[in-house]
Amino acid sequence: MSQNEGPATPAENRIAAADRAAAEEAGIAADLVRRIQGGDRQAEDEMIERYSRGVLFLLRRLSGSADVAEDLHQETFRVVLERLRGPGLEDPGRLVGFVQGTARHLFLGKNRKRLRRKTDAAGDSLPDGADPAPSQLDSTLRGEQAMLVRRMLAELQPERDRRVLYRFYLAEEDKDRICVDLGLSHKHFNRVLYRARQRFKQLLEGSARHARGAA
Amino acid sequence: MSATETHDAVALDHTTIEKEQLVDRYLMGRLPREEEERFERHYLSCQRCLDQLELGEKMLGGLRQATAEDVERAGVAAALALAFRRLGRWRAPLAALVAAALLLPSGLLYRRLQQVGGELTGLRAELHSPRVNLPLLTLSPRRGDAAGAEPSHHLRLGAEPGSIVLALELDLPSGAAYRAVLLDSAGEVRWQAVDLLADGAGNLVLSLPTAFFPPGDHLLRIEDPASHQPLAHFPLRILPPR
Repeated sequence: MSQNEGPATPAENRIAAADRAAAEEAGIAADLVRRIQGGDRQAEDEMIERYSRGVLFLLRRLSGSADVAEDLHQETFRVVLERLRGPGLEDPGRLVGFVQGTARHLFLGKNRKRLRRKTDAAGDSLPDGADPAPSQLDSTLRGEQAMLVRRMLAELQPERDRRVLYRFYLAEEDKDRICVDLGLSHKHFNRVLYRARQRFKQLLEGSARHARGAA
Repeated sequence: MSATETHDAVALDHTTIEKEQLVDRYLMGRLPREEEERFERHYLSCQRCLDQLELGEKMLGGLRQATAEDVERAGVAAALALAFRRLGRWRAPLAALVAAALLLPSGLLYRRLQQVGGELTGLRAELHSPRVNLPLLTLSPRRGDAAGAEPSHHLRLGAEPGSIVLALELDLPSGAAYRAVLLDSAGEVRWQAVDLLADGAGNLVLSLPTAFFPPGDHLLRIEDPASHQPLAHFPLRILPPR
């Protein structure tokens, strides 16, 4: 029931469900911390498995490099486990924040070291590139993704929906402005993005199946 | 964002995430810092959101790559667009001239088109020519109160107009977008831009026309795009050509 008179609204139900999910997550985190502090090695594996993919994604976004992300990912869990096996966390429910903060802190530390090396380098030497050139594999993957995006766009009707994508993703215009300019409701706007993503996902999966079949 | 925080796990429902395009806005670096970190604490253990993030990353990358390929293929169109930008206020009359020339050929228009064609060829050549000895400054942020501080970075302008490259050393998360403001000694805004993305090392590299830098002291300020709170100051002094 909502705090006002009458049954809860769908929005209130969603928030309540989200609150329950978050409390459950905090409970799982606290349990993992307690077990790891007690020397439970399986709990350590469970913790790594739970957050590994998210940490890797976060670090790849921060660093722009899969190699750097991989290094920092390992270091993140080394630091987190060292802490949990030792002094532990004041609030075990805050494990996810600790993992996030550790990953970000390690990335910033690595970045500062790299900038100091550039400053200390001999005047005539070239600094390390901020963005290493994409590898051959990265270039190939990007080319394939571009091709799949073209197919998705070619299938997207009407033409106005393609404009929604260009303006939102490439021109990075505000959703409200796009909706006003193109005479769309927010719901319709969301549907266009959803359809585009779903179609792109189908094309991606089809491409992956084709590649596995050819291998 | 309709979310409440319980411990560290963030109460984000997926309907809200979808409705507010949190995945897309996160990937484009368009969430305020607090929302960005809140969403990160959610997705660290949410396989559903990670699926969407990885898919969105590929789609956004594919869109940008396809656009870059199109721009490269349309070399003439890009040179034309550059010419129109460079010709400034003559853009509209020139566009009309070109359009009229297509409809009503005449000796005079033909000669004018030859001139324009020559300018475009020159501009295109300039686009693809290597550049030597570009003025380049690597700037570290000024700590403490930047107002009235004596600039430690000096740069002397060349005799000819051109560009200045400023490499700003920042400790900012890459993938996030920032706002830059260039102020002259009178505090007037000479240039500003939003949605500047820090590179993989958390730095920004700007190439700006020398016309933005009359001789004197300038202040380049990097700000948080949502709150406009200054994040870093870079005072510099521009010296006139010898």
